[in-house]
Amino acid sequence: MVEVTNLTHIYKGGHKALNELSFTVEKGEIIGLLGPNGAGKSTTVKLITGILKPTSGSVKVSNHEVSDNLDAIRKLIGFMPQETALYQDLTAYEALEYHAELYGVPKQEVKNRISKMLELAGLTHRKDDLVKTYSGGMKRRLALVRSILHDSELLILDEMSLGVDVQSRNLIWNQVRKMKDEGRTVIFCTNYMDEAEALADRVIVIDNGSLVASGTPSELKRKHVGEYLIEVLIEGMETSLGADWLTERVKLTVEKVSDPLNGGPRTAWIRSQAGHSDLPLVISRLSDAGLNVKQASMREPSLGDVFLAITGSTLRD
Amino acid sequence: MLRQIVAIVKKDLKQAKRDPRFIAPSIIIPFAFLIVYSIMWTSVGGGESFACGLVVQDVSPEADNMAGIIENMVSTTNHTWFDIERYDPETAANLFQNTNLISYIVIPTGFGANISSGNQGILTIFINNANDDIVKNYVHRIEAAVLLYNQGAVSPQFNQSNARVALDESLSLPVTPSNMAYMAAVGILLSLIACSLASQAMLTATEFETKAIQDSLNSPTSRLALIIGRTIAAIPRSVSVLLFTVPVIVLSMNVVPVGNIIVLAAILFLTVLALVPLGELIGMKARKREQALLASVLFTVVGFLAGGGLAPIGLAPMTFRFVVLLIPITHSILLWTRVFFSDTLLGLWPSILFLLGTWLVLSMVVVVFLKREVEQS
Repeated sequence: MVEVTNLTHIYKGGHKALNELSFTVEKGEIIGLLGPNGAGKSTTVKLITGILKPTSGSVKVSNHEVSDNLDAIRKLIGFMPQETALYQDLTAYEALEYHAELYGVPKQEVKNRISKMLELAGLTHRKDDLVKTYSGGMKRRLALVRSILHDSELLILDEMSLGVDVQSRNLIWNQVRKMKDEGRTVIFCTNYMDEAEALADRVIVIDNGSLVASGTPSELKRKHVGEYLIEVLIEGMETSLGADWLTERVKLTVEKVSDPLNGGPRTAWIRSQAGHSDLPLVISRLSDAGLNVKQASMREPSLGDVFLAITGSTLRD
Repeated sequence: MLRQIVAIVKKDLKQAKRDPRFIAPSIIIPFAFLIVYSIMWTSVGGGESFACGLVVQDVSPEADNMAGIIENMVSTTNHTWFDIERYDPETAANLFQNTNLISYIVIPTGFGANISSGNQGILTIFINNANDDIVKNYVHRIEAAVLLYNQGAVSPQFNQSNARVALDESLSLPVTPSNMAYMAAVGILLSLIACSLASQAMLTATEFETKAIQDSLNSPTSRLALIIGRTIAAIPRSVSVLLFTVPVIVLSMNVVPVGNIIVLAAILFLTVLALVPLGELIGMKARKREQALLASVLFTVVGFLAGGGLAPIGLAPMTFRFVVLLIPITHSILLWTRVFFSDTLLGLWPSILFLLGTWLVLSMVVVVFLKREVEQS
């Protein structure tokens, strides 16, 4: 459905936002684009939607080069920007009607489609109220259904659940799942790891404009973190010592060791394939190294841990 | 494309209807100017701020006497007299040609000889075409001076057939409106200008503030359709204020246009065309509707004053005149007042082309800015 090949984009002023980025998205897939602020997610999305022209490389949607078939491609794409971009002085019905006209929805279908979308968003009872009277969650739901109103095959959602309550978030997630069931392809950018884990068939991690990892969430966890992650709180480790020193002691890969706070204990994250059997070993080896283990726990890794393993920083850093 | 244009027009008009704050400055600004203008002209008269030249070519006691009367007359009304300054004939003629001197009086050679030989002495007055009020002020004063010289001027029954001095008033002046009529006419245009700028600036600012503009820009709608749609929507929105201002001004100030109504409507249309992209640019820069409203009001007032709304810019220095000719409001005022009072577009085609050119050029600038907005958002 989407084919991104060696995509590079340099903004005026010389900032290189994307560097030889390549990935593909199959029809019916839900893809999560992960990366910290400034990683190049929004630039990627803008290049796919044709808002920006690439400096070099190619973006194809449905086998058509985007920049050569812009109007046709835009009809295929439903885009929900981060800011929702809704006309505040229109009612929900009018906002959807305006969108339908711009996208050339057949006249005889406009009313039915709008009714269906309003129902999907749970906004039928508020359809004649001005958008500016809506809550943040309602606006996002409206923006989401607006993006599929013109029967778009490819949905691009930028921070779909930013700043919404749990109830609205669940509603939005369910709608995204429904869209997949209907055979649509979804690409979403997010900073929320749980969102990516809950929805994405595949995750593409971007950092500094380059692709750093790609795969299903479980693949990424296995590849970059392991089956389990052991978290230990230790005392007695010199400030000058780091993850490499600890790796030698525990004989497992230490992902990261936190900085000591006021000379207090430090937290270490250790990768493990064996899980339960590794935990007592780690404690024992740390004790042998003269360290005092205050607390130890084990859990399955999250995408946040994957991100940490790949980029060396948390997503919010 | 037609369907998209209609959708854009409907959407813009709905938005304007739901936030009609732009109407307020469109009504307040012209009426505030009308009030200020009324007070200004009715309390201090007209034309006294411009000096009048006096050229005395004749060397005779009669000429000195006449010049003395002109220079030393005292106003018996609340209206102050304008200053009289003496010039040599060449300087006076040059200043007059450059419009630095609005009027000058000539006491010609032979004036005294004519009077002493029993013939009439002739005074000549040259007046630049300012407006009726100024012309009347000058002419009345000179008439009074002549009558005073002739003695018996205070008597309405005075038989002037034996008068020693006659005033050559065979002035060739095109029809000029009175100050109040002029202000009333431009008041109508001013309300449209304020409405056009403020409404478009507010609309654009709202769309940029909420980023709603992206819904239109990311759609398969061409930029041309977008510009045409927004311009069409601006016409009824801008003209709406005239439903109030035209009847009020026309009825209260008894000012009826001489010019063709269709031509006048076309000038209003051209004005809206030129101001819509300007309003868009103001809105894009302001990005908040309150700031957009304020900025458009400031632009309207400054543009109106600079463009000759209060005083004819023909009296301004050349550099200033050149600069203000770059403001579309200047051309709108020129066209509007000329057709309103004289029903002619003679010599005004450059202004028509300028307004059309402004629309085209600024619309292209708007398209570039819209593209940049989406790219940078």
